[in-house]
Amino acid sequence: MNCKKIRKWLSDSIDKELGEKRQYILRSHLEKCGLCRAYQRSLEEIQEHIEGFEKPGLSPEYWRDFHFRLKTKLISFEPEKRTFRSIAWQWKWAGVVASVIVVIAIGLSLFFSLPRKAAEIYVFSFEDSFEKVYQEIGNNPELANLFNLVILASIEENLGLSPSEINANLYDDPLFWESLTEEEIALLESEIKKEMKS
Amino acid sequence: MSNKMNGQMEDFADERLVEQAKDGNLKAFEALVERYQERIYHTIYGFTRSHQDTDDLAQEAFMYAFKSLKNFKQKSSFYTWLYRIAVNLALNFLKKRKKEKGREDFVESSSFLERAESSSLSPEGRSVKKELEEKLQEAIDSLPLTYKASFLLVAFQGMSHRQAAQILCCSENTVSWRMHKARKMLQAKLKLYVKEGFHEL
Repeated sequence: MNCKKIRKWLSDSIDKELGEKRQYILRSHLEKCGLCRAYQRSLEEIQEHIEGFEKPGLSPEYWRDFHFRLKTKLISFEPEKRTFRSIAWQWKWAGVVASVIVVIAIGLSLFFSLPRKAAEIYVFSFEDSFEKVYQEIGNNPELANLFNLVILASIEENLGLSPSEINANLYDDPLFWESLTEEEIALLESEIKKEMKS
Repeated sequence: MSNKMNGQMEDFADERLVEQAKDGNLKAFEALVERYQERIYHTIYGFTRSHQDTDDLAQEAFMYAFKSLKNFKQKSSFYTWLYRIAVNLALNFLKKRKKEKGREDFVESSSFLERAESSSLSPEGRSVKKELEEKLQEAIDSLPLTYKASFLLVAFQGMSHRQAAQILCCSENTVSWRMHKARKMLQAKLKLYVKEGFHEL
């Protein structure tokens, strides 16, 4: 058994906090280990000496004086002081509450007195969206090509046309837009919206 | 405190006295003071080793308890709660004092207490005993505060690890380890005295 553990148990044993099983192991170890026995003796001697310490003897006069002084403090703390404190406390809180009410009232009056702007309703603008797409594309041929591919794929999927049947430069053809039905435009619009989000 | 009042309240359980004290019954609180004053005094004295400081702190502990009674939810016993107040005050006092002064000024030679020497000892034995007591006291004073608190409550006051843990707001296992470490430190510091002096007495 580890001597370090045994010495911890020795301390517990002196405090009468060691279980029976451990007591048994402790005794077995002490029979074999002289160093731990010496440590045990020194701890027990220290404890015996502590128990023999004289406690400060205080006279009845001391305790009478102690009570008198304490009672004086207790009485001075009692009702009057507490009532005074509670009144002061209530007034303090009343002040805080009144200030808060005034601030809220001023805030509300300012809020209702200010002229209000009419709420702006966002309306999706098909033309604006295309304008943004055009701006994005600019002179970038890669983006223009990508745009075409997206449009073509969309038309191909929805109208069932092959790529050879579709003009590759759709966005250059003003007649293309004129010929689209409202449903087709709505479809394009939704596709553009998805692109914008992504 | 009058004997008449003592007679009326000395048999009351702590809980009953606490309830009455909460309702503003000063005599009920005084009965509690009388019940625990010596134990509280000795506990604080273990920390301060000074009558004057112990007296001040004991007064402060009881005053604090009285002021805080309304907040005492009785989750622990009144005794544990009061001890916790006293020990915390004593520990705070020691921390403050340690900063202000060196520890040399700290251990007072208290003429007030006039500890009685054991009459069964020879003059030589008495002087050796006194010297050992002083050395032991010095060694205890030099312990770290947390160890010292556990040691004073368990070794001096005879509390169980559980009671000490409740007062010190830690686990029983922590108290057990602190006791072990404290004893180890004391044994190391008093090695010579334990081997030579203690046996001679």
